[in-house]
Amino acid sequence: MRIIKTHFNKSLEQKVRNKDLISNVMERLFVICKENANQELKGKIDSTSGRIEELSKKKRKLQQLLESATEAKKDLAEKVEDLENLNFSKRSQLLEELGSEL
Amino acid sequence: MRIINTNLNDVDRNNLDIEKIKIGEKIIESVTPLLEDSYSEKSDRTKRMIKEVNQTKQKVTENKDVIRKLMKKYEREKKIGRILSEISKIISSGSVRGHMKNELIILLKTLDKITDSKLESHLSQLQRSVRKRFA
Repeated sequence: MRIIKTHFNKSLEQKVRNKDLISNVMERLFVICKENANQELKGKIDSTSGRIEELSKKKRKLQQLLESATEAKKDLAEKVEDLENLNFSKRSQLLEELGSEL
Repeated sequence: MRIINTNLNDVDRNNLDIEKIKIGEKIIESVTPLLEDSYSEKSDRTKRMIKEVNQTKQKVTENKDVIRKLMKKYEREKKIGRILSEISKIISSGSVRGHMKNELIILLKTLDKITDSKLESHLSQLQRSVRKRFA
């Protein structure tokens, strides 16, 4: 087949129109192909998309839980350390009062 | 004017509707593999996400274990603090001598090594002793 081109220079308006047209055509094409594709593949794509969505939610929740747990761990470790230090100095003081030392 | 020779088949100008359908089917045929690629990409992403979720779960479990141990340690230190406070009351009463003094010194020196149940029993004993002294 021979293709005959009569216009070589397209105006900017034409280029924009063509770009929109191509985008529209591609969008429709994908919708048609998705619907037209064999049922098994379509089902697989749909269920995988659902699974991804479900996993994203799960990951977000776990991430939040992990952040809270890390924060709680840090706070608790600080409290334990403070309490240990306080008890150590109290013990030293009491032993001193009893005439002994640690 | 420019003429480009291609290796495409000529269009049957008498059956344009059939030609349109043929073009449509060809385009759809060429796009279907892209959908398969899309499925394969989604499938890989799912595997990656499952791995990430499991790793995060593992980290949460590790943190939980650490928090549980820290809680136990915190409770123990609080109990030690209460024992120290009771000993302090006994010393302030000014009646610590001889055998009792030695017992308190040993208790203070060995507090870190005593089991939780022993700590509990020492605390009750000291509280009883304080109640008796200040009754």
